[in-house]
Amino acid sequence: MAKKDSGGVDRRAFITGIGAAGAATAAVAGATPTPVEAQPTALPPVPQSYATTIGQLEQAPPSYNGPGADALHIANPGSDYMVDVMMGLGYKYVAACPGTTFRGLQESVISYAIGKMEWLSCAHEDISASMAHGYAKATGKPMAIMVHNTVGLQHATMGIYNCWADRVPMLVMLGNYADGALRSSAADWDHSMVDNAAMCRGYIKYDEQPGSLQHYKESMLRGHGIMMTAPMGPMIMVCEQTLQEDTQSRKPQPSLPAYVAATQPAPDPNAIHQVAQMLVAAKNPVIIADRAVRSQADVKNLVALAEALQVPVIDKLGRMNFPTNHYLNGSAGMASSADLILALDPGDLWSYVDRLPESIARASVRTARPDCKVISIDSELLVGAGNYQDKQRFYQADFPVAADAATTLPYLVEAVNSAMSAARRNENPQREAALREAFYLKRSADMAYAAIGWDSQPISVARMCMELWNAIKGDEWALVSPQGFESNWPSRLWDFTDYGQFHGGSGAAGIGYIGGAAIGAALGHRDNGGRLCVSLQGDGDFLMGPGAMWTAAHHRIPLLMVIHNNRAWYQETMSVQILASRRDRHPERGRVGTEIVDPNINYAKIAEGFGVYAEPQITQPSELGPAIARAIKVVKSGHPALLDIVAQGR
Amino acid sequence: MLRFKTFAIASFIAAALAAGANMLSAQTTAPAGDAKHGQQLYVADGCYECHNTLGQGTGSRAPGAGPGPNLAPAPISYAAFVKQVRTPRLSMPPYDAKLLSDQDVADIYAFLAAQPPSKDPHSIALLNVVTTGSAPDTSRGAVVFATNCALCHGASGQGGIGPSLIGESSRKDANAVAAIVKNPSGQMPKLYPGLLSDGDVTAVAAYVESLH
Repeated sequence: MAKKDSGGVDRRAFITGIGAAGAATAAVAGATPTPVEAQPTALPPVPQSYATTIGQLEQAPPSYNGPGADALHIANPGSDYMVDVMMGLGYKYVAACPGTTFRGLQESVISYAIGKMEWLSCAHEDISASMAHGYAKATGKPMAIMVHNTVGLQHATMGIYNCWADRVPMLVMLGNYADGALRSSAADWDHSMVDNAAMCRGYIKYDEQPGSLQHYKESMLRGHGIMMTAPMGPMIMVCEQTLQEDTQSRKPQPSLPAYVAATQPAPDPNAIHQVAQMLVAAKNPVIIADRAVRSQADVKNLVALAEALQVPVIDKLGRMNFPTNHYLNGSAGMASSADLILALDPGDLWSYVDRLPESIARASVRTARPDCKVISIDSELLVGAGNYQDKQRFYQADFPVAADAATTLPYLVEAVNSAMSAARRNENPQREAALREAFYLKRSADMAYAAIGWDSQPISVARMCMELWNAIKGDEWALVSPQGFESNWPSRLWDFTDYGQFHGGSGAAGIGYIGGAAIGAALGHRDNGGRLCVSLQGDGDFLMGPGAMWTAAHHRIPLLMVIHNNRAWYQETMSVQILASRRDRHPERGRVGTEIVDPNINYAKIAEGFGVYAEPQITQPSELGPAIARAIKVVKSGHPALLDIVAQGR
Repeated sequence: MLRFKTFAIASFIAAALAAGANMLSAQTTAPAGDAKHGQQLYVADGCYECHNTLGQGTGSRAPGAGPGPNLAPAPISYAAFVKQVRTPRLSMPPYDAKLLSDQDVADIYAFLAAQPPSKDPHSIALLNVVTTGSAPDTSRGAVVFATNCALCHGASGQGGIGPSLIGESSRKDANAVAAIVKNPSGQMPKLYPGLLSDGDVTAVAAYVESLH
């Protein structure tokens, strides 16, 4: 950890000591003694399990509301009000690794908001951010994280950036000592900034540094509305130490805010009409969707659009946009023969019509037909420029529509149904037959490819995935991790039918995302009916945030973590190998620096150290099924479990 | 959603993938190779990194399928294999004679060609549940294409290691396509008359003509 302490003196103990000494002095001088704080009698004896204590506290009403204000006490601290505002906006959780600059808020969450908010203890701020990211994708609701000034925010930045690039909301509460005269240690100075959100401003939607509680409340409402409007993204609220810890001397307006969500960006009705006409007229259209939906209702709308037109949907799987077992789930190659592409919040629009091979020449090749027209319904047009290049390469659509795709879909379905002539409807059976055939061939080919090396060692990734699906498909399940490093075998072979079953990738391909994001999503699913959650996590990703396991164990978050142990940061292994050959030297050294070997790591043993159930490391294909079954039994009992599977690279 | 078990076409694809090695080996003139040495080179020089340890790859070259197509148990013709190793298309790095001698390449090819046939996916219970939809009245040409051509030319003929075949009808008629299939040049493997019958060639040529 990069955090500095305050010279070896525990700050809380130090302050408590000052208070006790002060009280004694006052008594000797004959001044009115400070009442001895009544100890809360409702508290249970110190239990062995801290988590148990938390659980009992949350069930019990607050029995102690604090003393009145005097020289040694603070009544009605501002952080209580700040937490009230958070709760008014629906925040239920705060994920955080502790840091002094937000201690006022922390104390309010854990004591003032007992039973209303839960504190999620994290071992690293990047885990907090990733956890909030995963939670928001699973529930549609933002989670708050609290981060220590400077060092905590520096730790959290990759997770915040992933969240931004994935267009997902997250509230970052950043503690701060703005007044240098109040900084009591060297560490306080080290953990202070002038422009607090500056390091993140290229990848957040909003930030504010309010100077009063009234200002805080208004900023929270403004920021929440901006954050939750598509395209969504994180916000940072800088929380002054004085606002948190001082008495609410300048009381804000008494009534707590009633947040009213704004409607999402909808398209020009004329544009909808025009898009519908173009889709109906096209001979060979395709739909490409990346972050096009946010709910199962949106999925159904997309299915309705595709079925009305009998047009394939190429799902880029930034979200689970379209059922993988629907015959209209198309293959990526279909875009190259299309005469019209409808791109729905496409992310990387350029890549649908052009390709840049990873070659020395770096010469782009148009993959779409020269006469192919492109319609893009894209909320990205509503985002201003930033320092970061996550907007991807520019492509000039023939018909760009600035709107949120999910909001647009029902209007577009209606417009298409109105535009369909009888003659056009009569074409649908023929189109359907061809698309059913294409789907059959695609899936059958993937079955055949999956069978190759089925019994191999290291274990086939396709087999690993199918053993996993076999164990979960009878339940309501969710894959709460990306699947690209598993060659997309789940989406190629599993039946994704519900939006909640898959949440896409990290957004910015920031490795270290999965551990936190998976437990955040699993927490969300636990609260929303209890899907059986599984994650596929590379060993390289795991190593960047293994502490996430402790959070899962500590908070009893049920999740099966499958470690795809290919003993490398494998993407980079392949990447360096390419250059070794292009430079015509030492291909046998292409793996130096990207392999995770010598010693080989046993992730099962690490998991046990964190208090997570684990099976012994799995190297034999025949071990997979029974081990998965045992681990799922643990997960169904409400606990996390981990399987360390030594498998093929991809 | 409908869920059907797969039928004859998927079996045909699987059988072709499984049997291809022997059939192709018989019709190509690969020099004798030391499969054991080939395996050592395959691992040491990093071939496995994209194609996995037995050449099983990750499936097709289609975007999203993974980094490397399968090389075994149905390796492409030896001539095509050598050309792809020495002067590769797409993102594969080159392995020239400084890195791999001709004999090394032959040894690696021998390792790939020696891989046993793959299992029929329908014999694997965990795969036999994959939703494919009902077996359609698929044209013979589409099946031949999916089995033999899609790996290089893309699942929809959009191109890959091999060129795009979209709009081929504007450049060649079916007879010309059939002639190329029967007597290929360059990297394209010769599949006729060993793997493909006259009927297969006619059917796949018609299918290629239909790609738009």
